Amino acid sequence: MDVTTTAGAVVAVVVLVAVLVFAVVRPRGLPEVAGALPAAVLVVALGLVPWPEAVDEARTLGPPIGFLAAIRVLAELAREDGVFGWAGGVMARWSHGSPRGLLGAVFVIASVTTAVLSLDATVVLLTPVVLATASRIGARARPGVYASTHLANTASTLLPVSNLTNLLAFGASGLTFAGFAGLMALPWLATVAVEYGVFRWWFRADLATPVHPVPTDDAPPAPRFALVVLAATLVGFAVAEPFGVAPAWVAAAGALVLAAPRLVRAPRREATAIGRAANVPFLVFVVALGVVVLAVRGGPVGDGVAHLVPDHTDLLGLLAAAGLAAVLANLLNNLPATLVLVPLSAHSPGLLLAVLLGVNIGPNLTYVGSLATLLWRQVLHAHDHTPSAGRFVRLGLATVPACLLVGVAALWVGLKVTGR
Amino acid sequence: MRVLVWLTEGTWEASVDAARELSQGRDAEIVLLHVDDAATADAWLAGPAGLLGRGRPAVVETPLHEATAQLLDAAQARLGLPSRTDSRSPREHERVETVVVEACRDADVLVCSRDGDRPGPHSLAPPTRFVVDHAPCDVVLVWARG
Repeated sequence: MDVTTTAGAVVAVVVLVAVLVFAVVRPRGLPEVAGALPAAVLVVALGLVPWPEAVDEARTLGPPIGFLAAIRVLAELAREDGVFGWAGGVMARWSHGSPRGLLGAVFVIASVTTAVLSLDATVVLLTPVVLATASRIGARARPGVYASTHLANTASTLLPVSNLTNLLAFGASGLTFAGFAGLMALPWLATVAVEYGVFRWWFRADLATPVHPVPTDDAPPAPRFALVVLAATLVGFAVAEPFGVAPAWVAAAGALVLAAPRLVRAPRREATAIGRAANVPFLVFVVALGVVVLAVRGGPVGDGVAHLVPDHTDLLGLLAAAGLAAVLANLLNNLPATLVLVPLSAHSPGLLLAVLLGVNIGPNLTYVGSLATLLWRQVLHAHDHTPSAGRFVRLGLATVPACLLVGVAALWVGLKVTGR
Repeated sequence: MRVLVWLTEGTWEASVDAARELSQGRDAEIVLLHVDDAATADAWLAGPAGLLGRGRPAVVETPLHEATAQLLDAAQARLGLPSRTDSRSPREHERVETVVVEACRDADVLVCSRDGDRPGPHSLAPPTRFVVDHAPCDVVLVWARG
């Protein structure tokens, strides 16, 4: 079957949508890869993606997903060493018992956590700590929990390691680790600042509740060893790269140093836990999704999107690229959106970074993409709480367009200053 | 006299203290009411749902019920008078404020707190203002205190 024919293109899109539907609904609790892997085999068997191209795609995706596995293990080990519990104590202390103070502390901690340990760490490991900290100081949980969820997206633009989307684009960008961070630093600061301003206004009633004393008796001590290893790993990313050492190896080394004492104590149990944290099925899911997206990209849909990608990096071009990326991320999901857009914008680091602003910040509008949001609500419908799409879409409307505008403008300034 | 005390995070202490003052020496039946914040549950559930492909369960239980139970326990201890608790969650199209107004139907007095501790219209958040405007019983509105 030829992917450039109408029939081929329709089959490719149907298969991609089926993969996403399966991943959200997860029938009988099956892992996402159980839908994606057969789909990838199908598109290759049908001839929609030639076998050598599928192998090339897997090779391209190898380093980013290897990195992802290592950073996930590092974050989990950091949690076990008490880094997140300690961060909760720090947020409580910085807040001085004030709800506004707590929001500021959550913004700092969640932004740094997302940037260094990726958005997964913020969503899975930090959000529960934010909720517990709000309870501890007698503040309302709503602003902090929303901040943590939003910053997992908005603050995931700073480093190549902050988001899987960045990792997927980084290899194609031709930028160094430090070069990527340098160009994204200003947009990162600017978008987090805009988000903070909107949150202060949006949650003003929740933030007006009185100051409560902060309990000091149960603050956990700083896990110095884990914090030093995390800091060294972060420095290692930038320092090792010019010598040809990929960030994946640096993250793996950091994880190994943190795991070493435990591996000596209980090798088998610890190795199992590390394997679970690395989440191999997810890594295979990303590769399979990449192959399915390849089928869509090779057909008329890919050509159509390619026509929409601007070819110049003036302010309007960057805004158009970020806007297109945000729309695609909200239509489907930001992973397939990234896989479609990276090859189309890889010729220009500026365009690529604008695309990343779009796919990373855009999801704050519908979180999982509109298709998946609809399904996700159906899945939850039978349970005790049915989320209201309207509530978080309204907050998304207040933050996403403003963040994109300011973030892209900041990127444009950075590109001008560095002469790129 | 049936006294309904609406407890919200961050301000419940003032409501409990006012209910104690109001009820002492009277034949009062005190009910401590808490309504879960559906918006917080939305954000709690949306985060993991956004991590497509990571093998997270499609449905994640919110820990809000646990936090509510702790709040109600603390409020009963602070009240120091016989009371019962009433914990509710808004259903799909309900809002916190409509659930509170509904709960007021059996009460003689509603005790609740302003949201802020500074004078002015912003001391009443929209849900609290709605409750004050629509409660069918008498309302005792107190200043929030830390």
